[in-house]
Amino acid sequence: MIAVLALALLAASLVGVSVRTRPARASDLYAASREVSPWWNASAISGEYISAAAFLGMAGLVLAYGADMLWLPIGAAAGHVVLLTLVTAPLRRSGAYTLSDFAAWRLGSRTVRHAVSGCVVIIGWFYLLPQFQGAGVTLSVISGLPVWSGGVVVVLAVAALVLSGGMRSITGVQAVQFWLKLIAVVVPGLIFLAIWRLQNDADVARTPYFHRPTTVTAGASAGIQLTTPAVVAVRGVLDGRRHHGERVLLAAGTHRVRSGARLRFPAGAAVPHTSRLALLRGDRWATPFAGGRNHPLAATYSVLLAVLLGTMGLPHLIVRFYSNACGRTARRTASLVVLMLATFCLFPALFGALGRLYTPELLMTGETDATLLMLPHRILPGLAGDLLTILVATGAFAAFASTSCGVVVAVSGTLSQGFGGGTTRFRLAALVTMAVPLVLAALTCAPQSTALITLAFSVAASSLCPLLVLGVWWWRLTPAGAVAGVLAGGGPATAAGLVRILSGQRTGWLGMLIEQPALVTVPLGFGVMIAVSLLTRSSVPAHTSRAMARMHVPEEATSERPA
Amino acid sequence: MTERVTVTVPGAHERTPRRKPPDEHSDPGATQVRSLIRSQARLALTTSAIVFLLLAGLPLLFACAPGLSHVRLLGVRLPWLILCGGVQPIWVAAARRYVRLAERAERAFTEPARHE
Repeated sequence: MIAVLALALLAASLVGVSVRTRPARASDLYAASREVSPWWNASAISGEYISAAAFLGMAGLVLAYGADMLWLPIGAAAGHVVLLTLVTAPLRRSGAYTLSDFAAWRLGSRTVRHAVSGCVVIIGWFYLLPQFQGAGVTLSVISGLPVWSGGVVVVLAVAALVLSGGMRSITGVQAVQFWLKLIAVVVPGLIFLAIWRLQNDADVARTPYFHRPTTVTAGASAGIQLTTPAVVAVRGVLDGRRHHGERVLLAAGTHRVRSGARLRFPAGAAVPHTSRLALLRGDRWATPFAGGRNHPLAATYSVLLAVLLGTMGLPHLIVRFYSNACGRTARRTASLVVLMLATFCLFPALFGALGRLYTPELLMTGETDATLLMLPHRILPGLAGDLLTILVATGAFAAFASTSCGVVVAVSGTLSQGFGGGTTRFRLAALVTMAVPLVLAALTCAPQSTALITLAFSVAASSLCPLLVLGVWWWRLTPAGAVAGVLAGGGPATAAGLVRILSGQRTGWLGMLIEQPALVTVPLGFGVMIAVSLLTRSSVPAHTSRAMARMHVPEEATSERPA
Repeated sequence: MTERVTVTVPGAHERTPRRKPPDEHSDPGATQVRSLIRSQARLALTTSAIVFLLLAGLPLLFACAPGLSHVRLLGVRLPWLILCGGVQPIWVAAARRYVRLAERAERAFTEPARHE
């Protein structure tokens, strides 16, 4: 029943989105230039920011990796404080509509525009990859479809939406979707918290075990690791032998499960981990930096740096501030966004911790993105659980539809502009925009969607962030410096991202930096940009003073003066 | 009045968008503008520095004092309590403070300009 409901919901949410689509004029594809109040626009921006990966993935990451993942939600809200202080108002006042436009206007150079457009496209691809992957897993978990088909269904849906005329990002719809997503975490969150406290005050930090007999179906062929032997009823292929429901004693160690095999664990058995996840038992899960990860402190700093500085480089987000009337309201909007995201970000940790108690088998299947979707049924069987599942699924699809469409539109707009613009080119570009992350998703060996989302942030933090910050505050930035900095920071970050996607995990310092390159690439981007600008100081654009005044002088100081 | 200038014409020469009043009128004194930018930059950097220092300090704290992870407050381990509930209010407060001070700096710039 849940599967049917979920599919109906997906259809409904897509219809809801498609109401706001209509035949496109090229200008429509990116424009939504109505002036709206800070509160309303802040809801819309938060709605756009909370992606499927954030909505579902963060809880899954906390479930799998514990305390080390609590930094992500903190960084997400902090990134908006940095965005607010360093770029919001000046960027709004510049009047340039996209990041490429801003770069071209500030530095008067087509080369800079192309470099920035390239970054926007790469960031968009890296951003879409985990979205598609996460949505595919979600769909497959609640509908029983295989994971790959979940991904394909989801991409087809987005393609249909975008190609049918481009999504008009109406602020009101985005704003409503934010409140929907917030309700979809707050209501179950508070209910679960109450039930957990009343019913079962177990310490979430102990080694995960099955509270009752549980049947786990392997979604994909994979290795599982047992720490203690267990007697399991197996139906399907295990360790190369076909079983028909008989009990098998599984020794501690690694076993191979073929896709589709069903394993029934008795109550009290410790939960095996998929071999794609590092084993984190008991206390180590709950203690920061105890997870035995590769250079955990440096990796944490790297993630925080990427999320802090990368937020300002997300193309679909920045555009939204143009719905504000002036720099001042843009600033107020950004400050409200911080408040809204801070509220939202209180919950992933709760769901991750509850997942440890109520849905531990996700550690075995590796589908930790599904934590939030599976919790309602485990905690509240029956109708109440059904209703909460529906609420959460609606929020997840809202998150998926709004973010993915927003990014696809922003990226294909940038791509098609580079090739001359026009509706046909836009549609072609939209296909390319979606095909690339889909191919990457098929090739990737990384288990979770949110583990990949920091890739986009790393690239943005190392390339677009230096350009924006120096462009807004530094008089001596030159076109040559901007291009050199964007390439020096963005290039290595992109390369690291590709290696990470295509070749799996590595160890040592190099492995840590490939996984989280921001610690090196951000200083590199800033350093090269400043150094080359100083070396080419004769080519500071002539209109720099005018541009700086336009970005920083309040609108009323220029417009209210008698002409 | 808000003017939206979209520099999107592909292939066209990059232009600097022009405001309606000529530049010599719309530019209220280069020195004042510079000092406005400087004070805004100082404010922006201070606020970001608070965020950066806090985000740099917390991991260091937990890394250097792993014992903290076993301290419980209200039944929740300290790192979880701090990271889940303790830090976000600081971001909200920092953002609000920044907006207030930035607007004050802008008023200080605008009001004398109005009475000129």
